Amino acid sequence: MGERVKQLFWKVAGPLLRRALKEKHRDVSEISIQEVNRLLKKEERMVLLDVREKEELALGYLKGSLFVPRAGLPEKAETLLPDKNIPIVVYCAAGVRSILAAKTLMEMGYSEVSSMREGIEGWKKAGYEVASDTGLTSEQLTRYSRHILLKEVGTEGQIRLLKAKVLLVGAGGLGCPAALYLAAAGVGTLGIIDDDRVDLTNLQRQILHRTSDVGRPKTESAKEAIARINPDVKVVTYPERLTSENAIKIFEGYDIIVDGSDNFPTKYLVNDAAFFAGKPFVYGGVFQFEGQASVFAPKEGGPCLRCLFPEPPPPGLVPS
Amino acid sequence: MPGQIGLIQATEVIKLILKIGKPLIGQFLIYNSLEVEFKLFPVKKSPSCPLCNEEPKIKELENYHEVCGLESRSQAVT
Repeated sequence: MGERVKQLFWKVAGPLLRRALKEKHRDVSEISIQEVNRLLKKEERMVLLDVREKEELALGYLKGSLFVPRAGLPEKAETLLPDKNIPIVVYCAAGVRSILAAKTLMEMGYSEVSSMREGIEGWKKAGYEVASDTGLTSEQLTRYSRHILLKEVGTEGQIRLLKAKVLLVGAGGLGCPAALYLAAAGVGTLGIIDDDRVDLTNLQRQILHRTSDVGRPKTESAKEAIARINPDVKVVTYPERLTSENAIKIFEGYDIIVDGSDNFPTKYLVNDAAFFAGKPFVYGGVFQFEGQASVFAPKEGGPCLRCLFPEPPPPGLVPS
Repeated sequence: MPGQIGLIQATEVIKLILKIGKPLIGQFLIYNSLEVEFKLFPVKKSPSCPLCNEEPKIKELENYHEVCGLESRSQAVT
């Protein structure tokens, strides 16, 4: 927890602190990211020293760097860097801690130390490549950095999200917001099944679709909206009705089924097909100002929709 | 209104993928926006469930629209 608070603190107060620290430690020289990039291209002899904490390395680092968290420098520097005259570029996330680390090294007798201004975040912002052990691209490391820093997610969790396949039944009032958030979070494959076209009366709640989409298939406008939010996401569209004939076959290609349908026959079809396909089914329903949600996963020991309500309500009893 | 429920669904999906927290399995959430009430009811597997008990009545998908007699799509529900 302490580390997380610290990271957040550096992020917010970073630029101000960097200036204040630079005032205090005028003898520490700073180097711009452009200059570091130029030196690297020229293959100048120098050491790149990353002084961030271990968990921050998941966000990417400069290729060929040495890693010593700042607190460990006094103890480890002399073993790792016996030549005190070698040029050293110290960097951290935003160029604050690296000033302090550079100062420490100078006091230890290193003669050519500089701190990389704006740190690795500035480096990424400038569009330069970072290395990573995770298989995620530089852009993904930045896009999902707020996930990656959460201990519940991390790079491992983000990779799981990117590999996940989620089917949305319906691109209506429930499916639209669900699709937006799942796409933004980086769920790698989103299937959308809906045979409907966008109607003007949909637009007050079905937030994937725009006024100019009226009359177009919902799957099409949903696909475009998702691509605008996150091009990482593969969208598979089924501009057809979910039926007893196609349901199980479609469900089998996904990990989780999200029900955004607007009628009981479809909800029972989704429930039964998800059961036969062995997939968890995330149920949702809304009527006027009241909403319901649950996760039906008989395979995990939970109930299904029919455990609660064995049969669909008879015709005429249901408000439509 | 569907916004809140859709986002709860999205959150449940992410929790299932990441295997974190307590999923809404075995729980049924009812949200009343006018009263700002969130109620969570425990729900159990039914031994007489026609689908997921050990001797199910339903062995394959049925014709759902005929069963319910609800062919028309409601515009107000989602």
